Amino acid sequence: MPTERGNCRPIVPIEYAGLWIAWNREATRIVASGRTLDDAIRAAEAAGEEEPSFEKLPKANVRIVSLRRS
Amino acid sequence: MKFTYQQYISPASPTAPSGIVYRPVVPLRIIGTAAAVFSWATVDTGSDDTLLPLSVGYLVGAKLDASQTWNLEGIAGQTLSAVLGEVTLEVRGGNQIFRWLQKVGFVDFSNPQDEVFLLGHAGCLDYFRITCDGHRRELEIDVTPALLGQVI
Repeated sequence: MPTERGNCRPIVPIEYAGLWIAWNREATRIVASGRTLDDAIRAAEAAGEEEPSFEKLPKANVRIVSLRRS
Repeated sequence: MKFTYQQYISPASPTAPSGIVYRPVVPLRIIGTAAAVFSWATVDTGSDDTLLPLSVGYLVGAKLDASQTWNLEGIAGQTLSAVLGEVTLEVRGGNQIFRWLQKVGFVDFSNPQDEVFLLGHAGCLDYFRITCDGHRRELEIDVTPALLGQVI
């Protein structure tokens, strides 16, 4: 598991928008991606990454807004 | 612990003409009865609840209680439904680890592209002092006595 990895993560390109991505152990490189978390896990395994971290990116045209209880 | 905001490239907009947006995300380990997954989650001080995709709940083996559901609403009035589930959450940074057992909301998104991972007040932010430094683009998390979990 990374520690304060965010300090070294590179900018995330737009082509991954809407996808789950897998970072390498140091979170310095995107090693795989997939439409679902399962897909991204399998892709990271196929890429030989033993300790990936995952991230779900919003769609390209989406800005994140909060959700409240209703 | 401190985390630099993550940069993302998105289509240019009037408020972000460069197309670069910065979001306060932190590394979060979600531990269930079957597995653990390590994912980055957005710190969202405007969210009432901590919300995870239901797909993550299934994957880690969250203890889901289908009898406990509630509705969520965005600023434009779109609604979603959450189901209660219990997992252990862990944030690690520098030499510290914060770990706590928590009931959170799991949201069943019909399209995986819509899935979001939000750390809101109930389930997460209620336990911490959060500082968002927009100038440095840096998020700082300090634990408070409200956290009934482990500080390592």
